[in-house]
Amino acid sequence: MAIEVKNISRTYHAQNTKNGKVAALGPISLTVREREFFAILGPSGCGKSTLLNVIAGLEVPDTGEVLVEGRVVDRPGPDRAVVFQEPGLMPWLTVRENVEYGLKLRGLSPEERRERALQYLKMVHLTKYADARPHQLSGGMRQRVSIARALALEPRVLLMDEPFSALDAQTRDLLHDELQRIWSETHVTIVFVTHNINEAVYLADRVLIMTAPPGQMRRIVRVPFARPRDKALPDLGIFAAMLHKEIKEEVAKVAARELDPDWTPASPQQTLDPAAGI
Amino acid sequence: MEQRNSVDREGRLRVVALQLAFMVVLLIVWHAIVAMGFVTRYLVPSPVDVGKAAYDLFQSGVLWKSVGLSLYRMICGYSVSLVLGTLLGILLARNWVAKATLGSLVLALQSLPSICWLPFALLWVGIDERAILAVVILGATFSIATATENAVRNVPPIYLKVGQVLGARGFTFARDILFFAALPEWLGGMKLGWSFAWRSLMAAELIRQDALGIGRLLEIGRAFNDVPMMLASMVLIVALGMAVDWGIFGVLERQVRRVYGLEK
Amino acid sequence: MVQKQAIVTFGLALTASAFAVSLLGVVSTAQSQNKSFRRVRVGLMPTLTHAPAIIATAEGKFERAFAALGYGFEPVILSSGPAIMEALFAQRVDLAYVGPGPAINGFVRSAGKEVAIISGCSANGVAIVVRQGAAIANAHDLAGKRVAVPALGNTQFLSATAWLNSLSKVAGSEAATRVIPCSSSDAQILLKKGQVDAAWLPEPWPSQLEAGGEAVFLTEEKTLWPEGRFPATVVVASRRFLDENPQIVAEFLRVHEETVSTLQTEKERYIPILAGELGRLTKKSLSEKVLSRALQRIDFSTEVMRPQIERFYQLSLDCGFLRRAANVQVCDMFAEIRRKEDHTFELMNVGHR
Repeated sequence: MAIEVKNISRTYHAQNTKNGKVAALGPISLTVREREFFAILGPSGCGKSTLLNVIAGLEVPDTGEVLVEGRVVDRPGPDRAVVFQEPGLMPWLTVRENVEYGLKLRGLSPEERRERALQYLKMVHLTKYADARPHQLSGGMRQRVSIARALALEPRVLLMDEPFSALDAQTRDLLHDELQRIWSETHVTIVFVTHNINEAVYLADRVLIMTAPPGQMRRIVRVPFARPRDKALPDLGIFAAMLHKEIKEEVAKVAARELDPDWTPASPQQTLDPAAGI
Repeated sequence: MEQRNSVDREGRLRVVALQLAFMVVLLIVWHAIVAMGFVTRYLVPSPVDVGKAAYDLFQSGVLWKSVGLSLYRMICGYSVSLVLGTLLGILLARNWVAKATLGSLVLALQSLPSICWLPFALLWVGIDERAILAVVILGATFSIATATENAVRNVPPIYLKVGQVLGARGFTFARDILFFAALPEWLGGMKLGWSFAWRSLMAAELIRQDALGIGRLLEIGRAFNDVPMMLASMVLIVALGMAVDWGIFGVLERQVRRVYGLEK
Repeated sequence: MVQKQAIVTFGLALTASAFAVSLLGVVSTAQSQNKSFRRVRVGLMPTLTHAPAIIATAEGKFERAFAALGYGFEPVILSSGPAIMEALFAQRVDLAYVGPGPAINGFVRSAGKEVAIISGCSANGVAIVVRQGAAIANAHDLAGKRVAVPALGNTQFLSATAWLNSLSKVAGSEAATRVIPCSSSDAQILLKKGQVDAAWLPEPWPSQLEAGGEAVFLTEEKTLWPEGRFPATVVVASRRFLDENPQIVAEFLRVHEETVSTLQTEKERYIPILAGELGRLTKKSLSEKVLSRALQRIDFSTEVMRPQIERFYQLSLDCGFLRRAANVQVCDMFAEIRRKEDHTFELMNVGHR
């Protein structure tokens, strides 16, 4: 058991509700296994990022607790690295220094830091840009550095919060393959938040489908395909279409809540192209 | 990349050349108007008269003494307000109790031109360098505080999150993450603070007539109906202000913006 | 491309110049405004050395004299000599009572085109008082001390700077930082706080400070003059006004001379009116006792003390407040109005005699 999420819930302050609070997440419980690639999928606003932040220790839940390797999470820690949607590279540091910074805080010597930074930059194929400034890199390259920075900490768990959603489709494809390779090389446990069904199906061992807010567990689906997977495989598309239906129900719930009462979901007769959009 | 730089340089040179040409034409036309006798010479002197007045100031050593004293006051007063304003700004940005209490006071005081403190300063500390320093400090501190507060508040949240997950906490976090993330905007605040301090100092030196300084040169010119000297002092005030604005803060800002990739 | 930019630059520079010219145009129209004047404007300051102006104004003498010629009268009360010269330059004042320092300054700066001294008003009447407990026994002990004067660039500023310079032989700018321009009420505070050691002021302020116990009398400025006598206030006229309206100036001078001589002979009689007027103008209450004492130090006289005025000019040069200008001779500064046989008036430069 790498991660145990026990009965977590979280509410936020909101001004336009009756009691000034809005339930965002849970209660939800789940476990993520050692070396697992675990994806969290759900409609927007269902609290998937909140769940990830709670695991990261960036947010404190109202109820429940999270254990990582048996230890209760109460703040960010070296056992959990995070890759956000934005690369968040520090512009005042070079690429290498960005990767080194977390190591410096861990008290590694300059030589060790340098060596390890280059090792992980090599893993994402960016040693050439070690001394460049972040602004000289493209979006995809920056996200590679961000991954290298997280991995350089050699965490037990890598938490990824929609890391590729801001990238164009080609770059995303490339990084999907890279991430799969890196995961198999490092055997790090990955929790991967996304709203992209195909991405989840392509990458994950298991997918958690969350309900409309407050996000609870709808069900956890095991993705029954051997690795390495091929995106062109029709089975993947069919599987994704199946999940798509479930997500759509949850999205419809949200829409029904938010939109005028005359809104109804579109007829479900649309054709699903299994290979589309991966 | 190389080529673009050289193109940039050429463009910049052209801008400088245009600026120079503009100034030269302006001076020539000014001189011509005065020389042709359209205006009363001792009320509107020609650029040559102003140059002569500046040269006289330079020769008598009064110029350097005044510039030195004014800059000395600026450096003393400004460093104090930089430290005070920055600390105050950080406090206001990070502590809501301070924001709710001190914040409104800072806003209120910011709208009071610091020269209004001079009569008080005169009563409390008398005619003394401290009175001028107080005015300079009060002139810059609140604007630096407000700018620092905004700079800290406007730090993109991603850096805060990244800093936290990388393990930066407390002072390390402030030094390594907050400081650098806020730096570009904070520099803008420093620059603003300097120009506020400069205005305050000039106002104080104009009113307080008992100590040398550039502001006093202007007032001496006025008291002795010496219009060329008044204009020379004004040119000096503009030149010094711009030298610091461009030469120090401009260069710093450009450097930071380039490293951060905020401009090409 | 380059040509186009050059044209634009030139055009913009011309536009900026045109803007400047129109600004100057505003200045010059403001100057010519007085061509069709209806009122004679006389500048003066609320101190005792200007007493003839204050009295003639308060008693309506100027008003009546100008009215007889078909003009109005407007007193322009200003707080310092430099301010009065500024008003004269800006054509806001036609005639003025002012100290010799600013008068000379205005004359030289305008290359003799703006200012003429047409009469004397008062002599002496300037005293040096020192802080209680300051170790100053005579005027020579003022070396290295801080001295308050009424205004930057006024006559006492000049006298004090020159005196301190003569004592310490350091550069004018050094001495200037020891001469501290401030209002009489600020002088009182600064003396009390020990931030100035002495005050070099025209009456009634030294007597007032003595009476209040803030300061003790040291000496009168006249003791520092070889003649034992020097001009405190003179009467100046705008040169243009003088050239265009000699008759008005003659009438003004008649009233002025009459007032000066009666004041000089019957000082005590004018104490109540002076107390009232000075109190009204300065918002400070002055006791008749203080005024009586102050008046004793002033010698009201229309005598133009030319050697002393030329000495003031020399002091201004020595202190670096003025530069010697080739086209300016200080003797051109003095003008007199003569009534000719045919009852017209003639303006004379009397300096060359």
